[in-house]
Amino acid sequence: MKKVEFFQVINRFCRNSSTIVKAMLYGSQAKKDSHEELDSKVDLDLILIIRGEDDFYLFKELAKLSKEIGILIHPLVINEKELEFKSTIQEYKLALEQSTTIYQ
Amino acid sequence: MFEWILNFLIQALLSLLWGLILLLVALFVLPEKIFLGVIKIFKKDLVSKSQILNKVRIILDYIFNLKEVIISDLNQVESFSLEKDIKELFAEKRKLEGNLFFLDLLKGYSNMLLFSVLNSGYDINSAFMIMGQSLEYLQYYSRELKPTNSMMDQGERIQEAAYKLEAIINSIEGTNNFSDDLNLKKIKSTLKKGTEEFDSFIKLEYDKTKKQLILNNQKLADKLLKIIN
Repeated sequence: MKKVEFFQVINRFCRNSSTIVKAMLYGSQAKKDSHEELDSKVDLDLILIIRGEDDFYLFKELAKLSKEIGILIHPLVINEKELEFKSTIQEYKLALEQSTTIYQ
Repeated sequence: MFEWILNFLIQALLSLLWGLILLLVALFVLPEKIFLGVIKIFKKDLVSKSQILNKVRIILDYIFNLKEVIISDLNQVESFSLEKDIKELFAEKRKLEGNLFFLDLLKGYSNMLLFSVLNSGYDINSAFMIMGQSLEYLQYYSRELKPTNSMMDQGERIQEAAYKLEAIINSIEGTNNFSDDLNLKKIKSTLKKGTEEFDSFIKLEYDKTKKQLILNNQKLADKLLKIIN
């Protein structure tokens, strides 16, 4: 799967979700060109900013999507209530800064 | 009588004027510390901007510039102990923050593991792809956890739990007997139990770390406030 196709899939996924506010890709796969093929041996590091508490359905659907595309999606789910607190932590800050927004 | 009242008012106004003049002179002549000391007798909650700014600067240097700061306006023993406490709390804060991030990542993998098992249906083989990869990352990130004063062996405990889960998955993958309905049901139930246990364990460790970080931040804020006070 090409990076651009994955963006389209995630965009659709987020539009259908009632909890996702923002989706971002970070890590090694984010550095690829949009028409480059994604590496199926390396996971897709996804930051999902969500609204609300229940993320049971979200993980269920993500696991399904991961199986469909054949690449492990690794979600870092941050509740928007905690975003301010977590943004002050170096590791989260770096991940957020180095990410590419897919959906907002 | 009228003249006496007029004289009294004039004298009162003159005294007020002299008082104001003396206050203005004092403002320029007396050192700020003495001037504020006098004013504070009447207004106890008065805060000097120039004095507080220096202290706030020290705190900002501590937090954002990670500077080694020497607290000079307390006695030597007190300032040494305060500096030591702040340094230790900052080091603990950094470790807890890093651990919280890696536990958040681990939480993501353990959730994906759990749901790949729950979603697998009859196609358990496809779930092994996600499980195998997730386990590799679980081992990798659990090694990133640093021992903290409050949770010395957290990393080791998580690594142990990840090895335990890996052993369950490997033993099942090794059987290769997924065609039988009853056997598949048993396998799925074992996998579900193993991943659920691991998932709850990671969530618990994450919550404990977050709680500890908030507590540590509060202790740090109290120590930093001591500099201002």
